Formats: sequence, structure tokens, C-alpha cells
Amino acid sequence: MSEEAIIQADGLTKHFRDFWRRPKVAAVQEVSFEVKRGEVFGLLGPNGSGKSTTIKMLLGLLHPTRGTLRVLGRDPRDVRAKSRVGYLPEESYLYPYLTAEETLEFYGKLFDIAPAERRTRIAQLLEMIGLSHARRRTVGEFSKGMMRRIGLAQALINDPDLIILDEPTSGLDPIGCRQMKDLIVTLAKRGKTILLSSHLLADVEDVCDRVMILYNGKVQASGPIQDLLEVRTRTRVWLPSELDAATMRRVLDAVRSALGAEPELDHPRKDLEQFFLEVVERARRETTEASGVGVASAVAPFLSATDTTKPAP
Amino acid sequence: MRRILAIANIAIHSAVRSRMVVCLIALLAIAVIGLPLTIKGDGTIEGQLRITITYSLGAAFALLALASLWAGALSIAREIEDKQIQLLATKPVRRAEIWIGKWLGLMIVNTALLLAVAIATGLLLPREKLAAQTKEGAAAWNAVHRSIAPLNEDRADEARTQLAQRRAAGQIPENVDDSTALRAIQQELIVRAATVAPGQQRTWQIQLPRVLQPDETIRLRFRYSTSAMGLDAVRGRWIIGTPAQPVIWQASSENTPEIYQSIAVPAKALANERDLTVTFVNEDPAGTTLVFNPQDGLRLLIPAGTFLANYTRAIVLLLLRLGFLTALGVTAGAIFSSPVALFVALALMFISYTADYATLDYDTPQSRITTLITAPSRLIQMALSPLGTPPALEAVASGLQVETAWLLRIAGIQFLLYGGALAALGTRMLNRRELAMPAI
Amino acid sequence: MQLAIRQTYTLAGLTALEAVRQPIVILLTAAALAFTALMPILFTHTLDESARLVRDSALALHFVTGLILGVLTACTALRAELRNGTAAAVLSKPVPRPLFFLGKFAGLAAVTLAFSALMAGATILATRTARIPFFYDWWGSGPLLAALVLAFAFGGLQNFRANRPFASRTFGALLVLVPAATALSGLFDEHDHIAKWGAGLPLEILPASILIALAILLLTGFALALATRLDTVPALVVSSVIFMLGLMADYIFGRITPHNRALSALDGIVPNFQHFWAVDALAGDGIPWTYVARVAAYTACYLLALLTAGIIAFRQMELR
Repeated sequence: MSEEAIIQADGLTKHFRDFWRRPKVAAVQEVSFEVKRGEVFGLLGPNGSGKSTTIKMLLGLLHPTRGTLRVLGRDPRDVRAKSRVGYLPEESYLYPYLTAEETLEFYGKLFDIAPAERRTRIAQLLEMIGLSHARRRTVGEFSKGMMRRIGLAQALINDPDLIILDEPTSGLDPIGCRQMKDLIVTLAKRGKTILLSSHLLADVEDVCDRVMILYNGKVQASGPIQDLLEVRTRTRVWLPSELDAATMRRVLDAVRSALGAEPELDHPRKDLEQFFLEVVERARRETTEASGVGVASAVAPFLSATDTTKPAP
Repeated sequence: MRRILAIANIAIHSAVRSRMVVCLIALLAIAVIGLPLTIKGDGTIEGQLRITITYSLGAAFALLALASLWAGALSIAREIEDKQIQLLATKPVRRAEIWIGKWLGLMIVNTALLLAVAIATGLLLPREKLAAQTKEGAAAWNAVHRSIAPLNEDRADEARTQLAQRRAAGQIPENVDDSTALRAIQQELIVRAATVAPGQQRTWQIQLPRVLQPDETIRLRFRYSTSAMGLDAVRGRWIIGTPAQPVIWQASSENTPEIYQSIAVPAKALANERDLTVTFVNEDPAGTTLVFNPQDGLRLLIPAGTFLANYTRAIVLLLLRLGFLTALGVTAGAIFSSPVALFVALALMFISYTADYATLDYDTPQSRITTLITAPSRLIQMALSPLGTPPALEAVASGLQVETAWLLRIAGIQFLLYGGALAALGTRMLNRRELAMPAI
Repeated sequence: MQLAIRQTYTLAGLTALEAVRQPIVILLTAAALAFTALMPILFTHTLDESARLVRDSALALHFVTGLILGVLTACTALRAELRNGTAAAVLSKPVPRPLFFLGKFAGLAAVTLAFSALMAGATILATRTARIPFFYDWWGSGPLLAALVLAFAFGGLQNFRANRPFASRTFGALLVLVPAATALSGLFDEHDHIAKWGAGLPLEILPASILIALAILLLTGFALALATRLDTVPALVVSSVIFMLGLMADYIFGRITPHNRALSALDGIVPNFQHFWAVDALAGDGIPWTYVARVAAYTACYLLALLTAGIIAFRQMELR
């Protein structure tokens, strides 16, 4: 992981004003953070905490009231910065009358990708999100999950260095969520920098290196997820298999005498998500055809692997 | 360029998908095919030609103007409201490219529809009937004329001389100031110049833009009013010559007042001349006095190309005008939210149409309050005056050339200057606007 | 039945409020009122004709602005609700679709009628100011302008102090202040003396204003019915064409040969706006109330047919 800062926000503040130019809502207040190349950075917070406003400032869709903001070393409204960013919005902002393929075609053209290359990428992306079979259908007929997938594909069409995902798992079923999270991890491994926002804690916990928790527009906590979640006063010992009763008693006695306190015992449980995924996976293996969305394949090959030497265009 | 074309493509898609294009095609078909059936002309084939062109094509253009204005106004406003712009604006696209893309998309639709209408109208014109009617009818079909106005006569000097004389003679009351008196004298001179009493004559100087070919036929087109009530024909004599040779061609005429009349003149004798004099001699036995309309009392019509060329010119002119109106709509949509944008665009279009009519008389004495009120409207009028629409369709219908000056005015001022200013304004507003404003 | 009436009423109220909160409504209304109030000053150089000119222009302005208002709000209101899903949300409640549609119409009708009432007052007041040659009777346009300024001040203050929506508050204030201005104006005659109420007011204009209000209502219904099937721009364009055809109805259909079935049918569909433009009668003996009643009946029949067609189209529609 290089130390190059992809996003630098310093004292970022956004006030929404009323007609008389009086501040009405302080959506974001004095938020400072940095995201380094290759990191997966999570913006966490309840609804209305300022996550979306922060993201929209990062994208140049809103202008900060105060503070400085650099994305890829440039002003976020700079076209050169935008050419290296991919954005998955919270809801589908797609044109309902375009087909899946036309949609990707359109966004690809906006990046000046050569036609042959564009076609390859579109094919790979459709394959990746499992919508190759629906590429001729108009986006308006898609289910919410399918639209999210197209949204994801358009965010990746330019092989971006920085990927901004607003609520990436919203509207996705648990399989989709899992795939999305796997994809995020894979992309991070390939050297992409990812900023995502969510109010689903499990999402963030699974994939993020660092998180920042916002509430009421202010930073409440931030740091590497390990540090934030680690409870240093307690220790859990995981054993690979069941111990016989005598051994167990010996172990417990040793612990008891060392600590002078009674240890707690339980069996590890699967979390519901994991359990659900297993059930569905089993069912899927039995019936070949999944409804609506096809099976997603591996990550689109064109999405480049670690490339920290890429010069700014 | 690829980005602009991609955005234009989206605009076309959206126009087609919103059924706007289908609706327009239906309405345009009614205008082109239906209107000539409902409106009965004066029975002549020329009348039918006139109706087909001015009504059908005029109505079709009005429809397109309204639709492109509104579609323009909604194209960006709607995209902001539906938030699609939030995805578009995060791509490396300049806001100017968004503006131009939207405009271009709508103009492609406009061009296709207008061309279709123009071709359909052209095919529906009673060409064969015209040709079959008479030999002259066939000739008239291809005879487009350019209308040449007489040289302006500068009366300022004469007016000043008169003013001095009358002042000296004490004919002007003391309390009337010079400028008022001068204006009155000028008016009087204009009226006097337009008036031809019995037995008198009036001469105009005309400079031709090119020399005439011996085999051409030019026409004198004129309109006068008479001192007598009623519409009795007036007898007179028309003489055409040059300053050196005043009488080269002459003919007697007996024509009804109040309507445009025209007389054919063979150009044979006038060939190779550029400075002509046209004289009218009032020989009316009843002693009627004539007044030629000061604005267009007399015109010399010289042949200027074919109908098809003229028709094409008119279509190009209309297309340029559509380009301006679309720009107006797109910019309104970049500044305002949807219903306001629709209204603002409509209001601005109406205002631009009033440019043809709005000539308030500012010379009348005014109180201070009315001066205050009319000051901004004077400024607005100055800005609006180039926005008028030249009567291109009427010209085509009556066999007159769509003047190059009109085309240049529309292309240069309306399309490039005003259209460019609108594009700059729209882009600037899009740049300044925060496109993800939440509704609070 | 009671529930149905209550639902329609609620929906209508909501639609009216929503419409009035759109900036377009206050923009059009205020512009039309201000222009009407200033007409007596703008048309100075027509001597004894100026009262007639002001009256006719004010009525024409009422007509055209009202039609634009009706069509714009009808097309945008229904389309916007269908697009952003509010219609689907309301219809997921036990609200029958016909009621939803009728509620929409009733709400828009209330807004256009309110606009017409304001314009009727403004027309009467402006005509009063221009009635006597070479003399401005300020008891006409004066109170009207004052009402406009006060309404804007009220709306602005409400927005500044209490964060209330400017557009709807100003519109509401106008609905109180313009009638108040008319009432005040009616107290005085042209010599500034207190006289029998209405002595100074050209109240004979009222029937003409009512006829125009009916025409606006009719076109609003047309636009709303079209908006069930067409997107905003096509609906606007078709409504405009209907408006134009309606204005030229006498001219176009007046000379139809009887065997032309298609055209006769079109004549039946297009409302004849000539019926609603009775300004010529104002110059003569005035407009008899029986005529107004007849036109009202024509409008009612027309609207009934339009709304039925609209409801049928709306019922078959798929919502997302």
C-alpha cells in the first residue's frame, strides 16, 4: 500500500442555505480525512448523517461551503480527476429507455474509450455482473438488483483508480451482497482505492480497512477497523475440534488459576448471512437456473492490477 | 466530439421514447395534409400555392418551434430532477458538452422533421396544375423575383432649408422648437413625395444589383391609394429609363388602387444598365390624386433563380430559427426547474415574436413616470429588434426571393450571436449550479 | 359515499396546495396582475379608446395566461406524480382511481378558478383607472398595486420569519387582498367621494371574466385527460394545438362541406373557444346572464365527457 493520498479532505463543511442565504441545514461540519491509495475506506453512519453529502462533494456535484477537498490531487470538479473516478450512486440514475448494452456504451463513450476496447470491456463487465443474457433489455424493465448491477458496471467502465460506492449493497439480495463484497475485496487487491458509504455495519466490517463514523454531519470516530473493534480486555481462544471432558477440565483449571476468574464457554455460531448463503448455494447447485440474475463470473479482466505508476492524464 | 454525440444520441432517444416525435409527426401530417383541405383559397392555383406554403408550412413550423422550445426546456431540467445528471456530471464531461449535446440532439430531430415536412409540402404543391394551366403558369412556377427598393431620398437638407425659409417668413409659431418643426416638415415632405396629383408625375431612382440580360423580363410592382372613394381604376403611364435617357420603355396602365399590381417589362432595351429611373405620370381623366405607400409603394422585381433554390433558402432560414429557439429552451432548462423553465421559454419566444410589432411611439411627449416605465422597455426593444422573423414563407409563396440579408441576419445574429450567448449562459449556469441539491 | 367525497376533497386540497407551491403559479399570477394594473399607464396614447383597450387587453391576458397556467400545471402535476411514484403510493391506499383523477382535476380547477377570480378583480380595477379620458382614476389600479406589494411583503416576511413556503403564502394573501382592494375601490366614485358601493366600478365586465374562467377550466380538463396518456411535452403541444384550433374553430369548421365526416368529427371534439370570448358583446348591450348559463352548461357537458375519457384512460394505465 503506497502512502499517496487519493482523497484529502480538510475541514470540509457543507451548509444548505435557504432563499435568504441563511444557513438552514449543516449537513457536514469540519470533516477531515485522508484516503490512501489501495485502501478500502468506509463512511458509516445512520440516515441523514452526511454520508451522501460528503460523497457528492467528492464528486463535484455539491460545492463545499468551507474547507479544502482534493481528489486524485485535483479539484473534484476537474474533468481530469473525473476521468479516473468510478461512481455507483445510491439509487438508479440510469436512462430507463436504454438497453443494458446501450447504457454501458453511452458511459463508455463519455470516457473516450476506443470502440474496440469499449466493446471488450462491455462484454466483460456484463459477464462479470451476470447480465449478459439481458443485455438487449431496456433498463426500465429491470428489477432493482439488476439496475444496481448495471450501475456497478458503468462505474467500472473506465477502469477507475478511485471507486466511490454509495450504499453499494442496498437493493441487493444476500447473494448479490456477498458478490459485491467479494468484488470490493478483489478490486482492492488489484490496487484500486475504494470509498464506500453504508449504514449496514456488516458490509463495512467485512471489507473496509478503515472507517469513519459520521453522525449529524460530524466525525464521531475514525481509524482502522481492527483498532476500533478490538476489545483489548478480553481474549477468545478458538479450538479446531471438540475436546474430551478431562482435557477441557484441565484447560479450564489452568485458566482459572492464572486469571483468578471464571472463563465463559460457547460454541461458535454461523452468522445468519453466512448460513443463508450456504442454503442458497446448495439450492442453486441443485437447480441450474437462477431467477432474474445469472451467475456472476470472475472480475472483468480489463480492470487493471496494481498500477501505482500510472501517471495522471 | 464523441461525448457530445453520445449525449445528443440520448436526447434523441428520450424525444422518441416520450412519444414526442410520434405526436409531432401526427400533428405535422395534419398540418401538411389536412390544413390545405380545410382552408379554401380564392380558387386560383396561385392562391392554392400560397395557402399550401404559408399555412401548412407555417403551421408545421409553429408546431416544431413550440415543441423544440419545450423539449429543450425539459431536456436538462428534467434530467436534473430525475437525477440522471448526477451520473452524467461525474463523468469527465464538460458542462458545455452537456449543453451542446442536448441542443444537437434536439436539432437533429428538428432537422429530420422539418426536412420531411418541407419535402412533403413540396410534393403536394400544385405543380402540374400550374404548369398545365398556361405556358406562363409554367414560367411563373420557376420565376422567383428579387424585390429592389428605390434609393432612399435624403430629405434632411431640404427639410432644413425649408425650416430656415419658413422661420424667416414667420410661418412657424415662436413656441415650436426647431426639432419638432423639422420633424413635421420631414413628414410633410415624405407625404408630398408620395403624392401624385392629376397631370403630375413622380420619379424614383433605382440601382440594380446586377445588369439585366436581354431575354429577361422584369416587373414593376406597386400599390397606391386614391383621393376618390371606391376602387375605380386610375389611368396613368409608366416610364422606365436611365438618367441619361429618361424614356426607354413606356406603357399606359389602368389599375385598381389599394392592391398590389404588377406590370411585366421586357428587359431587352434596359440590358446593360444598372441605374434606372422609374416615372409614373398621373393621366387620370377623373382627376384623382394618388398616394403611393411610402414603405413599399414601388418595387422593381428582377428574376432571381428558381423556386427550388428559393424554397431551400426559406427552409434553411426556418431551421436556423429553430436552432435559436431550441437554444432558448435548453438554456431556460439549465437555469430553472421544469414548469418555470417551460413558461420562461414560452414567454421569451413570445417576446421575440413581438420584435416584429413592438414599435412604441417614443416621440410623443411623456410624463416623467412614463419615461421611467418605458426606459427598460426601450432597452429590451433594442435587444429584441434583431429577433424578428423575416416573412420567408410569405416571400416564397408570392414568388419573391428570400433575401440574402434575411438569411445573414438570422444566421449571424440570431443563430450565432444570440444562440452562442445562450449557450455560454446555459453552460455558465450549469457550471455554477449544484446538481445534487436535496429538496429542503 | 361519504368516504369518497372526503377522499376527493383531501386529494383536491393536496393537489391545489402542491400546485400553488410551484413557483410557476405565483410567477404567472403576479406577472399577469402587475401587467394588468399597469395597462392604463402603458396604453396612454389612445385617447378615448383607452378604457376599451385596457379592458380587452386585460381579458385577453386573463385568457391566455390562464390557459398557459391550466395546461402547464395539469400536464406537469399528473406526469410528475406518475414519474416519481407519488401516484403509485396514493393508489396503494384504498383510493379508487377515478377518485384520484377527479381529485386532481378538482384541485387544479380550484387553482385556475382562484386565478380567474384574481384576474377578474384586476380587470375591473384597471378598466376603472382608464375609464375617464386624460385622467387616471387611481382608485382602480392603486389598491390593486398595493394589494400586490402587500401580498409579496407578507409572503416574504412569512418565509423569512417562520420559514413558510413563499409561493403559497403569497398566493393566499392575494386571494384575500385583491378582493379587499376591489371592495375598497367600490366604496369611492371617481370624485373620491364615498358613494353607493360599486358606483365607480365597471362591473358589467364580470360575465366576460366568468366566461373566460370557464374556458380555462375546460382546457385544464383537456390537458389533464391528455396527460394520462402522453408525456409532458407531447401533452403540452397537443393542448396548445387544441387551444389554437378552438380559437379558430369558427373559421376552420365554419366552412366545412357537410359530407366531410372526418372534419365534422374533429369539429365535435375541439371545443369552440369563440363561445367564451364575448368581448364584442361588452361593447354593445353587455352579456346576458342567460348566455353565461348556456355556456356554463356547454362547459359542464364537455368536462363530463373529458373527465370520463380521462378516467377510462387512467384506469387502464400501469403504474410503476
